[in-house]
Amino acid sequence: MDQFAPIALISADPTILVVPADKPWKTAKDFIEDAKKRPGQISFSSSGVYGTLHMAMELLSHAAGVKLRHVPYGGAGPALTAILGGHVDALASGPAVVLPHIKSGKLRPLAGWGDKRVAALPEVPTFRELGHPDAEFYIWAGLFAPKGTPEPVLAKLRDTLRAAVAEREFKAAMDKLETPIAFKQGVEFQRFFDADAKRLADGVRKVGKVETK
Amino acid sequence: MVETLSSLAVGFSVALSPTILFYAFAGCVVGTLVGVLPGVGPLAGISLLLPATFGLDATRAIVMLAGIYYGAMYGGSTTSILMRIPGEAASVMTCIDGYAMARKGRAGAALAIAAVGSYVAGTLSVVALMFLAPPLAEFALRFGPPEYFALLLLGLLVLAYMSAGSMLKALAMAALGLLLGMIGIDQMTGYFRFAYGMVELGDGIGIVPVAVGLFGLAEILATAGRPIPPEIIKPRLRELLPSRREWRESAWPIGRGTVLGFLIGIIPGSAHIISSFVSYAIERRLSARPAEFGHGAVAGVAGPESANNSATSGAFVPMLALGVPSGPIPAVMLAAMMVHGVSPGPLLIKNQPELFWGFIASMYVGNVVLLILNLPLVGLFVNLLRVPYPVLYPSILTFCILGVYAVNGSVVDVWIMLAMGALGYVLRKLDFETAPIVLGVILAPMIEMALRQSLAMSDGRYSIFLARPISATLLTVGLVLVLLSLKPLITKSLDWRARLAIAEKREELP
Repeated sequence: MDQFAPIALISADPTILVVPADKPWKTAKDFIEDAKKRPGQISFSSSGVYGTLHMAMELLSHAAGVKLRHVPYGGAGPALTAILGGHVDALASGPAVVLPHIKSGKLRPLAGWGDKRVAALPEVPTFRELGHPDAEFYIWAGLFAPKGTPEPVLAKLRDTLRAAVAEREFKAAMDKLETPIAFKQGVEFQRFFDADAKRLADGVRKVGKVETK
Repeated sequence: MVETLSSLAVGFSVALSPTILFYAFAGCVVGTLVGVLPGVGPLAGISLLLPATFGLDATRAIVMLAGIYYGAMYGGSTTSILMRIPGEAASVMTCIDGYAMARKGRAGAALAIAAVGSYVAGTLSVVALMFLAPPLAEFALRFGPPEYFALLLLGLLVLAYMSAGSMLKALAMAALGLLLGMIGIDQMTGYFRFAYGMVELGDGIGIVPVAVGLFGLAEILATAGRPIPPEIIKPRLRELLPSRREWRESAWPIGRGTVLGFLIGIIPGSAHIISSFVSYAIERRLSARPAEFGHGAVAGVAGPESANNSATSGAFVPMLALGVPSGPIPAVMLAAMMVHGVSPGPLLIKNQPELFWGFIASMYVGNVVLLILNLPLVGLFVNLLRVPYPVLYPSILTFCILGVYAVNGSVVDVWIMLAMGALGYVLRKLDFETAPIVLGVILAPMIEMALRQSLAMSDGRYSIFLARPISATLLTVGLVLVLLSLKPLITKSLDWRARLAIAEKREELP
């Protein structure tokens, strides 16, 4: 990871926990309590082993002390299809992906992995609010340059990017995707990046321990 | 009904507006090219052109991308028939009888039948898409991993119908294909399997390098290996069109292929590839002269080519009705819709009638465009066969290598293709058929994934396959097929396969 020089973070969407609307869990608390009672019985789909959607769930499992059953799929699309078809009980995915299905009443959002609530889903709490601050996860997009890029070049890239992100057209395009812009540069981005890398490294280590048992 | 028709009229007014017509045409042309080029499939084509559509409005973008998808199914048959090189995975089956037809001087007829079959299937399946999308989409979602596994097992049984000669040899080849398909990262645990430290093998062995190598390269090597080069088949103009008998023999296969392709296409997963395999097997099973298959049976071209076209429309059902991607290609198209601010989902048809009906109508128009585009091209393409082998084959070889390299930019893929070419050559010399290997490579990762997902769902209990009605039904059908094929063993009568093997033995004797 030290082969990169950060330029800027553009967006960071927390994943959202959704369950089929016909499932009994009305809140994240119901879900976690039930998962505690029936370890390894509640299943979730993911985009693939160690994929983003898998890691989000693993972080939750460890934060809440529950054990869920993992059914990996070949991508975020098939993982969504699986929960809509009722083949699994839960899914963590980006807000833009699940929003249309929440609106149509097929899926119920329980909680989000962000440090604050998602603007499009103001009534959905975060796991942090529910007392699981370690369940924090984002699907984020940022730009990097190769390590050793001269500082003037990096500065130019940062300035250009800041201007580009501020463009009205870019904002409109991101709005269409329901992906809020979360622009961070310099120290702020570095801090975000370091925290994310640490969370993920811990998460992967915990999964590894579970699976080699 | 009346409402549907009036909505469709609105759709046509959108589809026939000059700009939409232009983008549908552009999509169809690009799709045909993508289909013709070996290696570059519709997924690569759509992904490459996606950024180019960002400046367009949503309807135009979707119409163009869809054009690429179904256009590729038309183009895919061309190289399969002329050179035994599948343009993309769904036209692997066409290589067998299409190429055999070309060797008999019926290349024009095969191309024309493929184009017309694709047209009929494309158009009829859009009708089905229009009327049946919402109810069928709900049904399609019930296909989870256990159902998919049962369907794939049926696909594996299809192997039994793919070879003309020894069943033992066919099964050995299928086993080899399944083994090759196991290479790559284990999707459930993330372990590298049989990769021998080569990171590039992590994604597994691609279908395209295997198919191009085993079919195309092996054919080139075999031709080059003959003491006397085979005579060049010079097509005559009046032989370009299918004969009345060929039309008659392809009518039913086109019809069956259309229905089958649509139904299989709806199922989430890369089902459109399987549709052509299943169609081929069905046609062979139903044919009055199954022995002709593999030696230029027109039904072996008509069925699979219709099925793979119809399957593309089927794949749009869950996408349009529910906003659910049924495979990698619809997933890219859904992403395209989201980029354009169209929120895909169950409310799409209600909220965006212009987009939905414009899209439907543009598919009718697109299929006509493709037919007009492809039929005259038959004459042009067939003339490729006039090119002398010393010029034609090196150029094909170059195209294959470029195409296979271009897909992933991976030299390893090129080596896989070359190794498969050599393997295919040896196997041909030893009288092994190579089609079951390709089927094995395609099916192995899908079957494994479905099986292990199912077992993950059920916590390791195999009863899940019998507890779910759809998968139980499919497994029963499979069992019946196996029992039927065992019948000759009990009654001691020879089935067509045994008779054919004996007939071929006789032919070989001087």
